[in-house]
Amino acid sequence: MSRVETARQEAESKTLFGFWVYLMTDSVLFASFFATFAVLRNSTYGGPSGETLFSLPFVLAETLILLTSSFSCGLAILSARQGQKNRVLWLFGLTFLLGLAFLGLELHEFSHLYYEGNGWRRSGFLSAFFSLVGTHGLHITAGLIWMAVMMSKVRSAGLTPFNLKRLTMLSLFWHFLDIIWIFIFTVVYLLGVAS
Amino acid sequence: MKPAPDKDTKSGTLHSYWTGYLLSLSLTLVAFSVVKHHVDSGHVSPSDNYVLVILAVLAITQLFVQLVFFLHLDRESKPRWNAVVLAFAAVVVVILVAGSIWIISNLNYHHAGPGHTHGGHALIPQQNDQQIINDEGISP
Repeated sequence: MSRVETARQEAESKTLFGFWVYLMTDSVLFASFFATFAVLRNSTYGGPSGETLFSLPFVLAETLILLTSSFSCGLAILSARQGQKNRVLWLFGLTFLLGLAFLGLELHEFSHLYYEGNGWRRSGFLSAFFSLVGTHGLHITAGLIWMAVMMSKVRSAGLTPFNLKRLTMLSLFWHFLDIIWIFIFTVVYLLGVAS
Repeated sequence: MKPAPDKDTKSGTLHSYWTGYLLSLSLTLVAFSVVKHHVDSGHVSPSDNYVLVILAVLAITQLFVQLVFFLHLDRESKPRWNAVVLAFAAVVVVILVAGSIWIISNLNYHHAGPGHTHGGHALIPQQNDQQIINDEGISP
């Protein structure tokens, strides 16, 4: 291994570590929203609670879609490390579509709640709900934009070391969002319906 | 210098992604069916407290499954800085969430009446006022 190559790998591992630190601070941001939600989850101000608002099969579908997209994202990174450009594009394309489907379902749920008169101004519970789930949705949107940009970069420049590094960070981001969603699924939806 | 470790070990293998995917899938479905059973049985079959414990265990198990099989935290090399930062973030998250719940439920009890903390569901303000007046023995 040449010295240039060693130096490059060292710089890359530092970049990835920096990105990891960002993800951990982002988890603190989500923790604040989770704490707010936990505190306000019974403050419905005479309005509907989660039990009447949420449809579990619908949310289960969302969860399975996001989980599958996380899986296909992992497979895409595996192909990227093996230098299979077409497979990478195909798998990230699949991840992108699954992410888009997830976002579509979430927006459908939001607009449904809003037009039924259960928007974020209805109660403390709904404000906390829209803040928490909406922030996750914004992250997903950012991830999708990033993914679209990376797919065009890979298409034009190929799997260069630079692109590979950025794809690795994108996959970390995407897996991270899936983990956050597991907790939203559990805390907001499952517990919201169970109690 | 290490003898060129194959790049697969750094980002996991096909096998590890499949394991992670199938484990996450089953943990999600188990959590879902536990809640479905709980609701179908009229909130008795696994009792409220058990559901809480079961769901917490399932979610935290899935957190570790994904950290290991998708984020490859176990494959990190020597000083394990990623794990150190993760542990620190976990401490902050626990203090933030548990502390908020603790402090605010205490505040709720003293401000908005015991109905808030014991009954589970919040009352409208007028009922709250009435409950505080009753509980504290305040004469109108």
